[in-house]
Amino acid sequence: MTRYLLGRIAQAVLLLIGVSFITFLLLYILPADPARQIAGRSATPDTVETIRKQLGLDLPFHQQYGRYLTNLAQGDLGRSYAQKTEVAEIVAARLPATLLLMTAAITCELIIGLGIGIFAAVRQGSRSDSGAMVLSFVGVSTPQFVAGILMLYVFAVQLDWFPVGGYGEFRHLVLPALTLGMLGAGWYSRMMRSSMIEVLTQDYIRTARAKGASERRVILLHALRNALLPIIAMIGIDIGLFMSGAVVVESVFGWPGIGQLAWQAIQQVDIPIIMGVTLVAAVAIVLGNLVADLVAPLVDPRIRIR
Amino acid sequence: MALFSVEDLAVSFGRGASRVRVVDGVSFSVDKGRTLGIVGESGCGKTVTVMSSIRLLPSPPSHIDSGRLRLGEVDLAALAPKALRDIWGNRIGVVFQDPMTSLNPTYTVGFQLREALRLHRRMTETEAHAEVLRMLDRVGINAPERRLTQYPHELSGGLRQRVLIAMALMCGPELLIADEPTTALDVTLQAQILDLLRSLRDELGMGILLVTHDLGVVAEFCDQVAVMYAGRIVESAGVKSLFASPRHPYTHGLLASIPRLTTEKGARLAAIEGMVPAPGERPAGCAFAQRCPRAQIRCREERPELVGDADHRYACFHPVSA
Repeated sequence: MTRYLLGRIAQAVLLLIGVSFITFLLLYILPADPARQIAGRSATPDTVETIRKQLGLDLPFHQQYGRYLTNLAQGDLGRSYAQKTEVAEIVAARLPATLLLMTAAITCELIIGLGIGIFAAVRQGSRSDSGAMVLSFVGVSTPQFVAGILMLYVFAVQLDWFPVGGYGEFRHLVLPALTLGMLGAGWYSRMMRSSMIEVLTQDYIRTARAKGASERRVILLHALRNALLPIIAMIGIDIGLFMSGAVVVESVFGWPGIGQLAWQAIQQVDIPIIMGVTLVAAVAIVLGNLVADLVAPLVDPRIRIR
Repeated sequence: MALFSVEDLAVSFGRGASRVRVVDGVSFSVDKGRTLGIVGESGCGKTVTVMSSIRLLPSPPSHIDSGRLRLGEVDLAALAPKALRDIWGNRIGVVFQDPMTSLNPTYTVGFQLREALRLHRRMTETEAHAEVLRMLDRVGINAPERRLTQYPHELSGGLRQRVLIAMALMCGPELLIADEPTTALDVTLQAQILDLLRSLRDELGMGILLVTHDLGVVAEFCDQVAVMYAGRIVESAGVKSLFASPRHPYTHGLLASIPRLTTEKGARLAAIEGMVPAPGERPAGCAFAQRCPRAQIRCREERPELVGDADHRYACFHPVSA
């Protein structure tokens, strides 16, 4: 177990170096000039040049990246160009909001996705099955900014059930969580349906019926646990999807998390913030997959962590 | 009176134009403390017959077109799902063919055994635990305490089959259905499992309905035999009578195809020529006529009904002489 964890940590470190390199390279190639952004429109070329020197942006790529990596190794994510404060502080202040949104979104997608999936599997081939699958297709294929704006229009503007934006109370959380969870709910319901249908043909399901177990017990106790395995692996991968979704959803709903932060930073070419958010997202994906791997043996005793 | 009797069972699959009769006009009965073997080659409908006779086959896709299915005083054919579930696992126990896949891989053996009991009996966790241990000991599992916390994948095939038998017997059923219970096991285990079933039958006085394609198992273990071919029973008799003087040419062919030690090495094994007609392609007359060395014109045009006396019945116009 210790060896397994050490291996995973080593993998994670390599992954983070890779992610930081690619992001850094992309930002370097970008035609936008952070020095000009910071200096403002009316600044003289001299001022821009001074700022560029100060930030070390005049150095060749390998020196810039080398410097970044050295600082990173010491736990220093740098300073924001725009806000002049430590990136670590800014990200840490924003992180709880995103974690809250993610937890709520995961809960939404599990409840909605698994519910619809089980419902459809049990009624396989019926009209309600087709209806459920159309619904899940809508969930999968609606872009999040469209879904978000529609939610706002219907539930906030027309029906006035929820606020248009804001942060702090449960009612603020509902719409963004639903919007972010919708995509995953669509995927989960399809996976759950096919996984459940597969499991329901297994011999041990027949054994459970032959014992006299009720249909509800057969499905929720005997089949569900076996059908959940592919879903658990999926939740790990999902964290990555969430990170990109969070950028869109947080911007639409004005949710003060790291997604919104990333969006603002991209507009300002605030490279240290963009790097910081990207790395946090990468860490989240690594952790998500690790948790999925650790949970899998609890659900299926045949899986062993080697 | 018979413990379990099935009369005129017909089962079909599919719907609309693609609906196919798979089992037709099947009748048999099992007596208390006795074993009825249903034999036939793969695809003859023996499993469908047995599983539909207790209505365990999911519907759809299967559909019971006719049949009276009497267990004691109740007709299973008339029961609502809830009432059926009160009988399954309680008055009827089922042991399935493949012990490797018939146990739920995500629950411990102990959980699955206790469940079998607690679905039908009101008892405390401690009482159930004691009862399960007693049953595991009865089916010849040593260190039963340890088995309870193990998962199915940690047990061997033989042990798993014993666990499945224990599970089927938890509530002391009157009727045990065993669908090829030894097919997936090696020969020494087969003998052990059959011995176990026999002694449990004698001890508990239950009737057993055994499905098999193995005539050796039938000879060894059954009192009565029904031979199935293409969805119908073609011959039924006491086991001695059937082996001593098979009347239906199909049964005769089956018995003749058992290799013997006296068969010369390298000699071709006796076999029944041709293939079983698929459901839906069964001929109007006797389904065996195409493959039968004794077939006459009448056999192809008219379907023979079961004839003979109560001890030995066969569906053939030109039976092998006794």
